[in-house]
Amino acid sequence: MIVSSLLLAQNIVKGKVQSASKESLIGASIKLLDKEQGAITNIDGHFELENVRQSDRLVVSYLGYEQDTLAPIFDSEMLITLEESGKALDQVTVKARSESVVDEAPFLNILITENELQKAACCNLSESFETNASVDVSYADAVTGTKMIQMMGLDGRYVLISREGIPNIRGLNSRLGLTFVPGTWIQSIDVGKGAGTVINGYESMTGQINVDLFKPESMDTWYLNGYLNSFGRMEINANHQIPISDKWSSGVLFHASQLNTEVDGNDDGFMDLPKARQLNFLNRYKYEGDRLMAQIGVNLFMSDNAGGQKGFGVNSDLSTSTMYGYEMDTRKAEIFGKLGMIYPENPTQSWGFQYSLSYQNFNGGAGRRLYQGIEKTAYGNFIYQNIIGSSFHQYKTGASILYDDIEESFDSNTPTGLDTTMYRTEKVPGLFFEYNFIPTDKITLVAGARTDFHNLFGTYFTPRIHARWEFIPKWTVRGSVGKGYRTPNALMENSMVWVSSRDIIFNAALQPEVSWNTGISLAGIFSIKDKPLSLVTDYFYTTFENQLVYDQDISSSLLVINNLQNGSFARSFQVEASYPVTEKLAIKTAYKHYENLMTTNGILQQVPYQSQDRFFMNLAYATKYDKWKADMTVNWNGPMRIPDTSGSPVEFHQPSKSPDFFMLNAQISRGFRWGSIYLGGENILNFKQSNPIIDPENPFGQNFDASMTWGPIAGRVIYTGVRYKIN
Amino acid sequence: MKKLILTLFIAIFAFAAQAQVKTIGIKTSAICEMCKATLEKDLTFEKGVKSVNLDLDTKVLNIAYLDSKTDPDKLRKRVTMVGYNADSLKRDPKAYSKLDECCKDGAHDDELPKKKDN
Repeated sequence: MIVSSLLLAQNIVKGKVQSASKESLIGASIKLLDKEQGAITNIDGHFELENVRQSDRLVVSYLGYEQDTLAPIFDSEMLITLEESGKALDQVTVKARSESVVDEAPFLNILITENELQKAACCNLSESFETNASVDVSYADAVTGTKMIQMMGLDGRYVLISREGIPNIRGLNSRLGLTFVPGTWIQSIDVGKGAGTVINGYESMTGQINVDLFKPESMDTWYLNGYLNSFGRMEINANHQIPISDKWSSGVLFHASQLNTEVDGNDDGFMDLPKARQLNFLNRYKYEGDRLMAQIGVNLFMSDNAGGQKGFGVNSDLSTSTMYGYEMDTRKAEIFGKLGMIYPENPTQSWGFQYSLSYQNFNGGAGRRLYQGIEKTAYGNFIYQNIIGSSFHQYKTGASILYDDIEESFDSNTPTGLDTTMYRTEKVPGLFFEYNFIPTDKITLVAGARTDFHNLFGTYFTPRIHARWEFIPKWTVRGSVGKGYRTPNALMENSMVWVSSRDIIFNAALQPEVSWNTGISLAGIFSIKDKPLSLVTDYFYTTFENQLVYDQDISSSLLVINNLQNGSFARSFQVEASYPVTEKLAIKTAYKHYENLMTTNGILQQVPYQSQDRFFMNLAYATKYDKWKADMTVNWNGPMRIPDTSGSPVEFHQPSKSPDFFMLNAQISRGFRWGSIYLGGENILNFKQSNPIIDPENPFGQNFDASMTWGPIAGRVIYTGVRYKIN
Repeated sequence: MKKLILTLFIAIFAFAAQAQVKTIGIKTSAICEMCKATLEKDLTFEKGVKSVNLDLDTKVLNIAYLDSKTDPDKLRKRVTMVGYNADSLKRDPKAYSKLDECCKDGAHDDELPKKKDN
């Protein structure tokens, strides 16, 4: 395929890879640094590489061993000895300048690094996907300020969001939980498209987003951040490493933020986003011994939000206030950790145990509606990893337990409205096995399955298959198919409908949502003017066997919640290209097309508030060592369907489609030895949905609706901040 | 707007550059890619420095700087504070002790000799 015009001597390197105990390592990978060439050791641990230059570097790696980088030797056979790695359970770590597709992964994985995350300086996980084309961010409603994410055109609740492998944003916090993770705590984010690995559970129906926080052993001694924006939002973030001993380390992550001003840019008498204050604290201790790795941490979180009509405050009482208010007070306490063991005499083998115990309390409501939810979760996952004979055949197997106790109450305080109390305790032990077949460095096949024994819904069987094939150098095709399950939480997932006069009709018997996801993708690199143009294109199809349907089409005065009666499926197509135009300037662009059809009001139709076509472009400029950085991101959102409002009085009719619109964000930062300062703007074009609230003068009336939101509510915001590091 | 700001910055820099940029080559004790990165990164953020490049073969650190803001002695001094010798100036021992192991004396002696250019 590649026509070689290079007139190089046929320099051949031969060698053998072995362990410290002189055992041959079969299936070890030898790659040339920054090149595509590579080889894998054969049954005796031998390898041969052609066309190696004196200046090349060999990167030798093997599961369970430290990676080594060496200069080639031509005149004799190289004997390469790998040391056992001291790390159990760590996934493959990939270093990249910014965001990139992880080449070796059998899944379509996009890694977002710290560098990329800093392009969106505010404020938490929900904003971290600004420069990522695979995750879309949308606006829930005109009152609560909640941002929602979507992947493949499907709601973010179908994505498993985990923190360092432990499912974290799920259950009652599947909407609000994105704000529980401050942006400055995040070291990197791994976005996996398609049904994920079975190891982390059955909930990754359309994808998995794994967030890695700064680690006690590698974080800066101090990392301080202050942030201020033109709405009056203030933030203080502090990360601190506490070295204890060679083997023990500890890290503290802290976040405090508040917005006290009442922002009402569209003069409808309603705050565009709620007043808010948040305190968030995480401390963990890590032990790394020769064999044992252990970690324990605690996360304490509180946030108070008050929105609605101007004047409604944190201390106002929803049930008696003459103003229309929104309130959400959240408390969370979590203990989490890991335990892992490696065997220096048998480094391919390791085991790990991850656990978390959490308590969450949500207290709030909107208008006269009052909500309270309490969720107690216990989670444990034991993973054992080894090879069968050689590293061509690797497997992970283990068992997990999920205990989820949910208690919710909802009072509409109207004659016809929904009043309900719901209790549910889920106890789900499960077993899983995942086999990796890696015959060459070009092919990976992952076949996994898990069986979970759900106390309420019976046995879940979750098969998943992933395959990767680098069919020509630099061109990789991937395919995946997998089943997924989750338990819906209708009240919290419809919190945007609380801020409307719609009566909630919820007669459905609780059932799990069940989906199949299939996908295919192609990732490759063209060389244009000696620079790589990388191209990723993917197509995913998700179909639901069961789904909890939130139907707003039956009537503009109702939200009808029911189990799926007819078909529901989503198709998504994405093509993404990135290219370094010069050493300093890189461009990334993407086009996405979604078709997400669900039966509402008896008609199979496009899901509302969802752009079917989207365009994305990011320009990134950086001088050497990031002394100066500038970024600009443009998003074009195509028209979205708006639920039928023909039943409401004529003056409140809404068009059936939203207009399309552009969003422009930009940021510039200057680096120093000690850190950086930055200045940026979001929604610089100041685009706002006009009249986002229907009948704002009569919030307690029959036509009030602040949930019919398709665009940004608040306008342009300018922000500035400083990052300070001490080592 | 961003482009405007950017153009403005570039214009200011270009203007300043035309006025008074000087270059200097400082012989250092850098021995590997890691040293190159450490030195270049540090000097990039030194006051008055416009661009930095270390040639590993000759160990010479080439710096373009504004002579109104800094001078060769300051730059040499800074190199020693990072932990490397700078021309006749000796490195700061404290900074040297903090360097990565691969940047210490003799760290690369057991490797194959580099292809000789001369």
